[in-house]
Amino acid sequence: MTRPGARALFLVACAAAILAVAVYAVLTPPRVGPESAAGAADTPVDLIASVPEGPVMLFREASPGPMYGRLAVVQLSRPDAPRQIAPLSCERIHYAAGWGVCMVNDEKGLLVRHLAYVFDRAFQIRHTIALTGSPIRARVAPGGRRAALTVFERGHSYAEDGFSTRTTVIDTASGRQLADLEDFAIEKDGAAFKAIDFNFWGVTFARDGDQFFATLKTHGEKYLVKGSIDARRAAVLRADVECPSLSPDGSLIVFKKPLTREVGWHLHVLDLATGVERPLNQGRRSVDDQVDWFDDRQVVYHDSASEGTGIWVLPVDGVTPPTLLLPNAYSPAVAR
Amino acid sequence: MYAGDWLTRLTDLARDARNPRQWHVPSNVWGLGVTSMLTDVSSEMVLSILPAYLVMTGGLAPLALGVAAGVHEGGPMLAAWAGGLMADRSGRRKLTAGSGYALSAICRLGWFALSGRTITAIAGLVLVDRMGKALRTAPRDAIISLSVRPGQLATAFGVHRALDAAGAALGPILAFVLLWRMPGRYDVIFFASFVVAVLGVVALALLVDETPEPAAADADRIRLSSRDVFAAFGDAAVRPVLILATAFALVTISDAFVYLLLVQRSHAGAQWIPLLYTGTSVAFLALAVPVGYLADRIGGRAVFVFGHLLLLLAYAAAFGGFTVWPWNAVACVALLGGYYACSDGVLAGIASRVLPAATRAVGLAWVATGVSVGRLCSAIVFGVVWTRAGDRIAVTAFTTALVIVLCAAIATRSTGTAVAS
Repeated sequence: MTRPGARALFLVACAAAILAVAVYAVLTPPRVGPESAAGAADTPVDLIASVPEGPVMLFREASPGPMYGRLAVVQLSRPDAPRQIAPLSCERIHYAAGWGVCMVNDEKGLLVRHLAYVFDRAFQIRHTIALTGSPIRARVAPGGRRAALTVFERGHSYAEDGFSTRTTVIDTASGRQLADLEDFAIEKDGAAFKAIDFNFWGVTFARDGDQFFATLKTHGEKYLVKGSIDARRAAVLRADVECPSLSPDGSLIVFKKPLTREVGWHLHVLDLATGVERPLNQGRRSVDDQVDWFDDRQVVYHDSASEGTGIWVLPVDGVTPPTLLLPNAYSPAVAR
Repeated sequence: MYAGDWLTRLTDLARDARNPRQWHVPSNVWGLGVTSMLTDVSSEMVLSILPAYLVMTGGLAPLALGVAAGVHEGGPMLAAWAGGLMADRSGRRKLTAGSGYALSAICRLGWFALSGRTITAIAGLVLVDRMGKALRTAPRDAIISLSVRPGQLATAFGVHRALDAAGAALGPILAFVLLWRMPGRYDVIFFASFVVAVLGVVALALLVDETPEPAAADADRIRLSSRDVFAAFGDAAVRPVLILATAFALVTISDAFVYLLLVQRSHAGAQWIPLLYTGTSVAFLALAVPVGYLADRIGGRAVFVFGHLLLLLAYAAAFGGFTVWPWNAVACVALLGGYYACSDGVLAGIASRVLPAATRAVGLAWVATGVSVGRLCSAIVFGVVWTRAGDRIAVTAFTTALVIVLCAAIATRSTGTAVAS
């Protein structure tokens, strides 16, 4: 048997312990995060409650300060004007015809949650979709009725080095998942093509919102596939294509071509009618983004060049070099 | 065994269960339970927020995960022997266990001082913490076993393991509540973890009394030499327990793998994995005491073997292709909790029965080592097979091996009854 009074003494020790933690929590100052330190601009912020009319670009604001990470908008005609800030924070954004997707990593809780919000013209969240990994690509079909979401899913296949991805297609009006590309019937050279290590990413939709192009990676090869969401099938078109982006008229695809000699990518343009591809003049840098079309002749993408980190604009003529359009900005989505 | 025999046993069981004295365990068991609970709250509240922990449970390649889990399980084996030997040779089990608890408490202070600095330093401290755990386990179990009469061993271990599992379940919840009320205050969690660990040492000092030893044991102790470390092998009564425990550990799939494959096959996110750990702890703590009581009545070995049947069912729930998330996870977690209730404390009870008091801590360390080595090998082999041949073949191979060991254990029951009764 324990000594008399030992239990009472233990209860006193318990009380003292609780007191010690409480005193510590109250007396020590909270450690301040780096972003709330100096550098917060005093300039007035232009907050908006809906996507402005006219040709605009939506993007993730990446300037240091209190608006870091927020969804921001500029008019295409005046990209230098003060950025308009929306009431959403997103990692990855895309928007078309009044429908947008905003992919987020919610790190407020103990567990990081990955989510996609489907929002409307007034930035109202219509649907919240739980994702199975951290966001990497988002694309809304030109008509706005569908969206494709790609996440990194580290724990999906350990069969080989590197990453694994999951790409799902959702119906924007209902928020329902329509398809997981890994369930589609894939064809290569006229025969069925299947392997357990299939990874899809970088969907781009045709004007009808059903036809699509995407990247398929298997056994280290990266293919361009073309398919139909409704038919739940796709066929391999060619190799060495990542993150395709279809031009507004549907005739060209700008994509990341993996470099053979070193790690990285070079943007190329592919003429779908002739099958001819040629490099764009992106300079000596590697570009890792799924581009969006600025107009019929230029694309926009994120890059961190020495001249500045932000959204760059690049003509697809293969001659003209890129220019920095928006410094400290990420994930461009052009809406005309 | 005849049907009539079972009927008599069941009748006795039902009559006994209504007698409150059968459920009463000595205050030492409660004291050690409270100590373990506080220590587990302290460690789990930190482990659940360590990013390294999430990497360990979700982000590493299977082979790396296997090695990490194996080192985690088998690394501090030397400390376990040292703890057992020190306790038996000095006879000061409480002091030995206390130094193990104190070592872990000092680690918590290190965590607090280093919080947010380097992951490697914290990983090193996790290893020292595990050594403290290894050091204290055998002497602690020896105190528990020496505090109760033989007919109550499994119940006592059940009470202790239930409190221990309660701590493991409470720790992450406490961390979650603290972070929720004070966002970003990781330092408060590290500080609270240290305070709770110190409280665990205080609980041991105040609530646990060293059992006075019989004179015979005293005489034994003088003769105890380092050669007696291997005494467990020479003892014909102990050997079957050691073989049984090691054989089962060798064919057990690590929890980390089970949870990882479960969420992958159900297309659920990795963020569920910590919750699966908590769920298993809750099922374990709910079942530990009744299962321990049962083991004292019908024999520990039968319950131990039955536990591995539950493990087999847990694999079926996790890998059987029932992707009815979250119900397959609930079934898997409940069955795993049942498996732990039937194996962890029950094994300590079986071993305590056959080990002489003077060499009990070393003997318990041996059994724990057998289990650790078995799990170490199993984790590495599973990781290698998964990497080379795929997860399906790895699961099939381990499940088949488990069935074989189960059949062998049931077939050799006649020799084992001596151990159980």
